[in-house]
Amino acid sequence: MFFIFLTSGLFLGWSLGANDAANVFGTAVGTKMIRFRTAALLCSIFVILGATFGGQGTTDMLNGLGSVDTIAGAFTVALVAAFTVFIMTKAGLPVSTSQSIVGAIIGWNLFIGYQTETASLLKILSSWIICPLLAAFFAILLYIPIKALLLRSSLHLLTRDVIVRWGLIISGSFGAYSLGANNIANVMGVFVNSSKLTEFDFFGIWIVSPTLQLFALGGLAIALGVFTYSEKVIKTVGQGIFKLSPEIALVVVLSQSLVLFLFSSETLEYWLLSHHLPALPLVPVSSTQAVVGAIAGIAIFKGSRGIKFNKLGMISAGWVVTPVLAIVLTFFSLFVMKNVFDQEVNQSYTYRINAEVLSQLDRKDIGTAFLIPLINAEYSDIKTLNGILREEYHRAEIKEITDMSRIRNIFIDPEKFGYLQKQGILSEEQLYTLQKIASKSFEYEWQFKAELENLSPEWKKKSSDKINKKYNKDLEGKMNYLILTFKVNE
Amino acid sequence: MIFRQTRELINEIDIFLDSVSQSGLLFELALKDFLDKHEEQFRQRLTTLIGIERTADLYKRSTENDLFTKSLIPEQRGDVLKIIEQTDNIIDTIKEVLVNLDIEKPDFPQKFKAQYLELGAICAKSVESTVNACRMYFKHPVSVKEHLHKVFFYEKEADKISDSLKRNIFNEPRLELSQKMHLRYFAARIGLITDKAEETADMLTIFVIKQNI
Repeated sequence: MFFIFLTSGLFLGWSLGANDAANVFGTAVGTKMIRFRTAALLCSIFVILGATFGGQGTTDMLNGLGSVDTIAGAFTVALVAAFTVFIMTKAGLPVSTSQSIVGAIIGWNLFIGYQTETASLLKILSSWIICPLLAAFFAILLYIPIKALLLRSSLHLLTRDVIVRWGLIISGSFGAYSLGANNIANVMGVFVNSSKLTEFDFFGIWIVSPTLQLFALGGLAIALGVFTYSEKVIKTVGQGIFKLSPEIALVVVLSQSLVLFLFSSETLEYWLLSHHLPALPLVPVSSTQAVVGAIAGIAIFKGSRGIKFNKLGMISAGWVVTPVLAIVLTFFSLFVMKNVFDQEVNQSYTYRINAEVLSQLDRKDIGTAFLIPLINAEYSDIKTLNGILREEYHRAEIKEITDMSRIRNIFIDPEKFGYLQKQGILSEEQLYTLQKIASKSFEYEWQFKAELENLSPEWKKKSSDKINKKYNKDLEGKMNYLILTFKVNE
Repeated sequence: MIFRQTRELINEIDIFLDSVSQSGLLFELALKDFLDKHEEQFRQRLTTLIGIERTADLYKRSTENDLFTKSLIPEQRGDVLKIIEQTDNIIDTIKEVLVNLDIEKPDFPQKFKAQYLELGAICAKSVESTVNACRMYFKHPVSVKEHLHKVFFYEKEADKISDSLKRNIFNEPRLELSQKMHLRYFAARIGLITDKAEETADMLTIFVIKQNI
């Protein structure tokens, strides 16, 4: 059943391969510098590598926006995102799977009644504008020295051809890796929380996590899209906005690859922050818009001759139309899925505000006077609770209260310690701390986390400086993994 | 390894352009030999030129073949093939003039010898400048125009000398009309070499603009 539901994500991956992946090698193939088969092969290999090994950063951002937690919900969200891409492509509007999936997740939040995290949403929205602008900036920055190097130097036309060709192959492969790393979240991100896959022991040398398996599957779907349907798109890309020479094609691919990499690499983000440099949020962005930004940047730098502004206008329209369409379609699709097909589109939780929750909220400076009459009342529908809270609190506070009052029922089953030890995810100290609370039960998620933090500094988060982001995120990931391992009756 | 095939092709193009350049230099010397009535030397130069032309044809075909089969310079491939074709026409024109001189053996009066020599020298310079412009097209496109203006200059000069020569020929009362026409024919044929050079230069002007990314 899980694999049937997964097909919508794979379909989305396939359409991403058919459309977006063309951006990476499209200019190289369009200018006849690389054969389609070579491009498709390289693109597939590096997309799979990028998706498998670099996709975590952007996935976290999408899950921050909304954690789709049932497989039927994930299926619907991915299907609507793919369908929106299809409709937009048919309508001739440039489309981004990133915008489509973000719209679909917000649609899911609206349907379920969850608050969309404003910070994540703002980061994602701003990235849509920053992405093409940054690509344009990089394109101009690269265009000047590359033009000087290739034209002003005394390189023979044929030597130049070889350099540009290899440049296109290398930057295209880098672009494909970045595309896989950046966009795999669009394809498989929504399935991460509802995945039914289990760890896979790779000849005893490597335990492949369910997330990694999902990403590899998504990468394969993208690769399939590249091979089966991208040839036409590849051959037309690049000629739509501005006529490209192979040298400009190289600049465009390099700029786009750099932008996608900046928006997806956790390592680069950590390096930048540790050197007191600004880092970009790890957000899935649109490779199409990065390419368009790069080409427009060069065109404007060269004096705007030949630039088709109506095309750029259409791209901007796509920024608005795609997510809005995805929100509306997801909302109605989830309604149909839930009421017609009787599928669970979200996990049902019980919410209870007790004295402990109140004291925790007090510590976070959230007023609790309004909540006192609600003590120990149970709510099985988040919409009802949200409706009550909305009278007194704003969005961020409501999210905090509902998160804290959500009952998870965690039991630290000692029988699972052996399994955890074999996984090798936790340090010795972390495992030892966990053993100290063996057979203990926790009603709320935050109680479990607080207990661990109290028992060992290795479970304690560092200050919320940007530089500690990766450390805290890894720790949070481990805690969430333990919650999934020890949860009962959910 | 990556550059080996390219280096071979660059070498082929260089040899081809060397052949075009040598044909211009040989033409000047062969014309002088003919006018000085050094028949044996003229024949030798003609034989050398025919050999050069064959070598050039060989390299031309090989270059054309390599450019297509190895899918090199897709954007400029058409332009490069046209340049090679056009410069090959220069060698063909030079060979044609010398072969016709050998066959028809026109009787050049001593009076016109200086002007024919001058025309021959201008042609050689024009070919040399065209070859230099072609080399620059491959290596340093922005420098092409430094050579092109010379090609255009030589073509105009050649036209002036050719016109003046023809006028002088037909103003000469001691010559038969048939001889006048024969001499005029060769003045026109020699002038054709600079026309071919100019056609190549015109092409290069456009191709350089196209190359400017």
